[in-house]
Amino acid sequence: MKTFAFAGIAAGLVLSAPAQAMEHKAVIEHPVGPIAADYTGATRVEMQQIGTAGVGGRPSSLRCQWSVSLSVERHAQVGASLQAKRSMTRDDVIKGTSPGWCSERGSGIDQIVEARRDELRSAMMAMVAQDRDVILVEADSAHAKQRVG
Amino acid sequence: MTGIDRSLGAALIGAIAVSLAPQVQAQSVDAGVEATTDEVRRGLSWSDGEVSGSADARVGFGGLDASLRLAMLRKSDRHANADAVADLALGKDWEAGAFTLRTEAIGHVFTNADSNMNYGELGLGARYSIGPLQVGGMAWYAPKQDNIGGDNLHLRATADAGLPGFPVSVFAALGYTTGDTQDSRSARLRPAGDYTDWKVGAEFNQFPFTLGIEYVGTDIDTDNTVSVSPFADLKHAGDRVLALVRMSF
Repeated sequence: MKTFAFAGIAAGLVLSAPAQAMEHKAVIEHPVGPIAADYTGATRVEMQQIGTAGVGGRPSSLRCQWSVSLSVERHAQVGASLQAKRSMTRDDVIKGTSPGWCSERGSGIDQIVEARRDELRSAMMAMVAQDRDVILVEADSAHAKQRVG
Repeated sequence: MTGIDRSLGAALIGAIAVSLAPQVQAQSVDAGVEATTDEVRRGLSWSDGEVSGSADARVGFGGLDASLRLAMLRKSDRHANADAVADLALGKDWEAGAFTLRTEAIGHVFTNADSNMNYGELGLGARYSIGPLQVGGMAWYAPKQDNIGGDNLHLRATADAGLPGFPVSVFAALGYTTGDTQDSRSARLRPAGDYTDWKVGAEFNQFPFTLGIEYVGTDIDTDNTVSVSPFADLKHAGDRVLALVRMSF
């Protein structure tokens, strides 16, 4: 709780969301052999305490501005020898504000993240789809090296 | 002047409609419904001291924000038996070092009043945040309009504080209202001339709910003042405690 208080005094604070990691496994066919890629996604919540002007007729108030970023780790096994790792991050996958003092539970961020799990999942799948080309390039170069070697 | 009020309302509605349109780029949307034991603004009840309900929404985009709030006025004496008021606001926050400067335009549109009660005002202010404390000063000026019987200037100092690690915010405000008096309608916003108002309160937040309690008061001598204006509603211009519950979306 003390850490929270100190972090709160800084302009912004970062906390990890309850880690219910998302996972995805893909197999990509390649001349070097099938590539098995495992993806693990984790969310991170960034919160910033702000003061806002009131809606017309309401007084100004404290609000918590928050955003959820998604980090995806890829572990791929290319052929028998090469392991290819990559980290990808997408910021602001979900964002919003809540009234009052920033608190991940009290601000309802955990509930919103849970309710919008499908959105996070599709963001992760989009990153996985983009990563396919990167894996192929990595495998191609590994393949080329093998042939040269 | 009515024409000006109408065109102000129309302009604000237009601006908000345009602002609401590009939802895709919207940076933030927040909205809520609220119930309060009394709709009090600047220390004055706008709902005859009766229970009121309201709904509001705000869209922020690129530093600008547009908001709409609808509040029940319960056939308010202060506003010629109006049933409800719509507050339309368009504002912009400007970052200036540690300060945030605020400019805004607000239109108040009253429904079902016995006569046209609509008016508009412009706001200019600054906020400063230091850790869990936010202090601010703001001035709202309503230029000379028939519906408020002259012009009106409201100055307000506010302080809001969060309690780190605890879902409670506390706040205090001090306001001063002045203006000129052309006819009885000036009593809508200044029941007995220039006055000071104050407020202290606390809010408990557990998303999506906010529970609040406030003590509000004015320096208007409601016991010994008699007003000839039907809009003064002095019975509901004094000290009181009010409670509110809000559900945010």
